[in-house]
Amino acid sequence: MQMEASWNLGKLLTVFVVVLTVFGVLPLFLGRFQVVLVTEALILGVYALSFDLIFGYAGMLSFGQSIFFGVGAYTILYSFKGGLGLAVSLLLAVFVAGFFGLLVGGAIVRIKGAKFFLVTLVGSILFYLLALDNRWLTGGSDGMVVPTVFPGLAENYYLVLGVSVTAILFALILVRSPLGLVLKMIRDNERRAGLLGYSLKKYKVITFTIGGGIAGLAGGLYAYTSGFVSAGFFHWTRSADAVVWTILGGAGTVVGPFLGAALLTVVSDILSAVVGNIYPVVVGALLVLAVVVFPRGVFGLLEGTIRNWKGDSGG
Amino acid sequence: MIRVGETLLEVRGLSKRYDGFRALEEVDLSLQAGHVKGIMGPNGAGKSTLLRLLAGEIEVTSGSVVFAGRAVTELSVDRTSNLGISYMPQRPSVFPALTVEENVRGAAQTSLILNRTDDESSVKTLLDLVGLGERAGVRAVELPFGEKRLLDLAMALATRPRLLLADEPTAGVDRGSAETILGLLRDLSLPDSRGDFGLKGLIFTEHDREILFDFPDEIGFLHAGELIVEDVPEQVKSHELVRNYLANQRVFEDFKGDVGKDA
Repeated sequence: MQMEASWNLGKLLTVFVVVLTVFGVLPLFLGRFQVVLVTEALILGVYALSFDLIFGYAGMLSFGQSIFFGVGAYTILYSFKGGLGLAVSLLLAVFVAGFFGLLVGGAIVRIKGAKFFLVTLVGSILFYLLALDNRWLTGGSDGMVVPTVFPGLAENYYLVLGVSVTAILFALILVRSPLGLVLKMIRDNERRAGLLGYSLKKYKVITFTIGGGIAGLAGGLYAYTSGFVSAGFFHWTRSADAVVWTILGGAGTVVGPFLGAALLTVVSDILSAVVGNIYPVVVGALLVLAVVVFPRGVFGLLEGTIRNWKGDSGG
Repeated sequence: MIRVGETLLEVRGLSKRYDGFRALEEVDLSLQAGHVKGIMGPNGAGKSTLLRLLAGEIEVTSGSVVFAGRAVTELSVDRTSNLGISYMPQRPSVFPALTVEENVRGAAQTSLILNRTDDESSVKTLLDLVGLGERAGVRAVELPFGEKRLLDLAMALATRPRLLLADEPTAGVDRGSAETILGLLRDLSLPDSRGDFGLKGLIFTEHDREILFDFPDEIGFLHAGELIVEDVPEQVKSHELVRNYLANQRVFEDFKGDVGKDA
């Protein structure tokens, strides 16, 4: 958390260019299946980032993030059905899901603590059941096919990479802005933030709106690249995924959620091939271990390692 | 624009009940611009309740609060803060994971999008004012108690309040920090330096009678939720209940002192 905050612009830019170059040439060295996997990991990274803004920065443990993921996915579906192009459809996914974030956030913002967690969980279950029941609109559990011509794996990959980079840059600017500081203040000490003139309700709703919009972007990308949407997009376990990835990767950092999402996507994939159907149990056990061993997430671990290494070479 | 001598705060019949318990009962109080008011009274007399009601942090049961000619009785704490009432809570209340500089910047910033240079310079001024300039990069959680209180004060001033409500600003604070805090409160209350932060009035609660009878223009004595007396320090001192309270407090403190010597 601290390192990310104290990085100067030059250093950030260097890291950014290096990482971008690596990701830019990555498809040349990967097989078809791996390209799909990395594409998915990036989308889920954007999704985890959307949750991190709500939890890691504004301090709200929400299990309702799948609502916005699902809304974004179905927005893309109907936008394509209506004949709109990709760019407009993605923007629409952001705005519609952001609007849902505004509504949901406004409805639940006064609720605190364990109740908040429960209400958001029930919220995502409710949306799932509504999507399941209204087959005419959603296709239920069978889902619906997104009416688009499949653009190709590499094209999908670069589209997703571009959107991910945009989302990361947006998040970096946001958390460094005065607005980002207000969110961190609310996370750290709600009472004093209120005493200093910040309306908790207002800023929590703003966070839900932004987090909802970014989750909608991820859902839209997921629907577009897989060509398919179903009620399952709303399932509460998808909300839980975002929570797990973010905490594993490092809450309150911009890069952490991406690391968490990518790591778990790849690890789950490898494990399912190695140990078969019991892989969720193994992943779960690894997660518990990970949280115990590095409580500040993978990013926190990396940060500590780099700092130690620097200290050793410096001294 | 409020001038010295005009009424800054007018409180009428202010009451607060919690499930039948009378925390504050029919308090009338007023503060003129340019004045400092000290509030004293035993623990549980309602001192913090009074300040928190004025700040809008807790809801009023009955009564009215008018600030700078505007009814603020029903307003929430973020609204009253934006109108110019700043409340420094009784216990240190900082943002632990943020640096000292971020704590004050968060309180001072006037734009949500850009870091304005005006805000940055006022943050620096405030940090230097409370003597935390050298500690700007330290995380607030790492500060000792006294410095947390200094940070509290810097944040309370950073919102550019016209009325500052300070709840036992020096309680539990080391001598050095306490002197800084009191020095600032005293300086900011002098007519000629008031313009610096635009502060027009100060109400603070305090246990220490040396401090209480030092610089406030008026003192109020709260007892069991009632404002028994409110007057200039000399008058308050001679009130029977206050004399009793002060005498008991002295006995208690002497007793504490004896225990300290034995140990």
